[in-house]
Amino acid sequence: MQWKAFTIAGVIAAFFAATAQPAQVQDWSGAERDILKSFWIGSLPPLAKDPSNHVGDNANAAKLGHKLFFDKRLSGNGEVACATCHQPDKAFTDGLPLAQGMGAVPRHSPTIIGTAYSPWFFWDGRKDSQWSQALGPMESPVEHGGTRTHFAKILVSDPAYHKAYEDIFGVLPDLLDNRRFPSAAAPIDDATARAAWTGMTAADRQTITRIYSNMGKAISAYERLILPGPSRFDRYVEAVLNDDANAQEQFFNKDEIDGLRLFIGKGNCTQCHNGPLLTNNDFHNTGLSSIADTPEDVGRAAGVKSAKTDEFSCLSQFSDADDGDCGELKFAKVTGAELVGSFKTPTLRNLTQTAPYMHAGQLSTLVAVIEFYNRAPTAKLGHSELLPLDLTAREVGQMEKFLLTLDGPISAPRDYLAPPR
Amino acid sequence: MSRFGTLVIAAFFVSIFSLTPPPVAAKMAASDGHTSSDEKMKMPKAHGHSDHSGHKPTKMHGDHSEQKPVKKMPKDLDMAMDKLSEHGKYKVSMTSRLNPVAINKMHGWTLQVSKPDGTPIDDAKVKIAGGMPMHGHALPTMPRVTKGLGEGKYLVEGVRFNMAGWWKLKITIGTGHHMDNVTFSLVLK
Repeated sequence: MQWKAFTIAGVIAAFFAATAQPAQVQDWSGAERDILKSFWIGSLPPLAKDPSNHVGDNANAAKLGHKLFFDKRLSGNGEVACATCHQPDKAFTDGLPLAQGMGAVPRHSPTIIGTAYSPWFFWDGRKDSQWSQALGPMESPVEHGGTRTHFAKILVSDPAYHKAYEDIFGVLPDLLDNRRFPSAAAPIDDATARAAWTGMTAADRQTITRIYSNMGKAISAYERLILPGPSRFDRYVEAVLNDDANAQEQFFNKDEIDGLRLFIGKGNCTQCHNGPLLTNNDFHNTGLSSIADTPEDVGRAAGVKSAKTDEFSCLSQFSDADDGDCGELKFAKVTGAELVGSFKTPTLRNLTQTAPYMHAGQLSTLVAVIEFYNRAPTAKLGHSELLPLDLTAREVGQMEKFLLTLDGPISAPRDYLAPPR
Repeated sequence: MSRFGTLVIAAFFVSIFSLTPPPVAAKMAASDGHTSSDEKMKMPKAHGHSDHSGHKPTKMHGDHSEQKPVKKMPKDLDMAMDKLSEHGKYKVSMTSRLNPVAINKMHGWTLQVSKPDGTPIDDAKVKIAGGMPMHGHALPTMPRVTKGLGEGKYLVEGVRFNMAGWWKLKITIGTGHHMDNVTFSLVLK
């Protein structure tokens, strides 16, 4: 009887051992574990100071920036705010192929999450700081369509803004004299606004532009707090690094693991999508110009030239950086065939909320994106860096399943994910 | 415990091991597998003088511009960071100021130039180029010497690699009538 009990117990134990053996537990090599760890959100270093923005980590500046970010008065028609295209509930994108402000924008709205880590901004990298980026759309006729005198006057006339600004940046001048400070003046293409701008004294233009640049710095102080939270992928990597088989099984299924293997192997994805934000924040031509109806756009080739001469660059008078802090701008590559038709590598975090994809929103689904890279069509503009991947339909599906695991919460103060009260 | 019980337990363990999937072989494809056959690198033209020694130094622009991207990294890749230049005119070494060298980080290097006998050279004109031999693309930034540090040392600023894999750094050095170059390889994870 005792033997039988042992036998039955043994068989049962063996049965459970067999069924409990997790099919998902993979034997990642040491090199692979290193790679996975490099993509893990725990490898994201604390956000370094932005030397060009002395209020980048100032809590009051972030509070002011939060208000400015959602304020539709900061536009030519009173209907466009930063949050129009960067909506918190869409991972700070807008769900549209091409952004829509006061007019049609020829590019897709990228997310803001984690962009404080990037040395370059916009798809073409025409700005070299987050605060300088924030100022671009505000005077673009197809985005906010405003002017810097209009914005400065709002800051001065709104008591809450007035106080908040002065607490951070010091005394705001009186801008009530409309002859000295026209209500719509800026160095932009619009002839009337430009004429009004050139009619101002150099000192008054300087006064206004200083206020305008400080608005960008406050917006950046807010945006610097919009960071990615841990995704299911990050939990899986933690489980791998901890050799926790149960957790590995809990967080990733077989297809997702196979997709991850393709991602770091055959898919060649990690050439550009690397680091904890899954982007090298650099510029690449992936042949997107081959897609029908893609707006003709040389991308980085023009963007870097703009950045070099931008009035709010790291080396500009409005930057708080020392010359030695501006390495990205000083050593930026300004010539080379690779720049033509190149666009910034986007993060792959929160992809379910950031469709459609690519710089002009040309591809509406992740499968379409993977299939595009699988085919690697010849670029119509410049040269694509891609080669066909030879992925099977099943592998495309696995890759998609893996990419969907990169969704995570936004790590930010809760109040900052909604309009200010 | 009875012998039979022992056998059952042994069978139990055997069953576990037989059901454990074999370790998956490391299938890490080098992540730098693509090439672009018609991609050409354009490098800034180097300053310096033509070589009067009878040797023809390699062209000054782009170390890959005359070559198609290579398919594989050589197994015996020379990773030395201290070498004689191609035609033996200079002894050159490069030391990263970021250790270990990591991708996506702007950083500097210290370049050391001397005569083959070890005499430091402080008046060299230096050009820096490079790229990924397997991809056919150049460096993503334009590094340059920003400062002479004395004793044959130079500060190179503005290096940022943007992907893992095999990178080349080509240093072209000119002094007086002598121009020569040296290429270093490094493999980043």
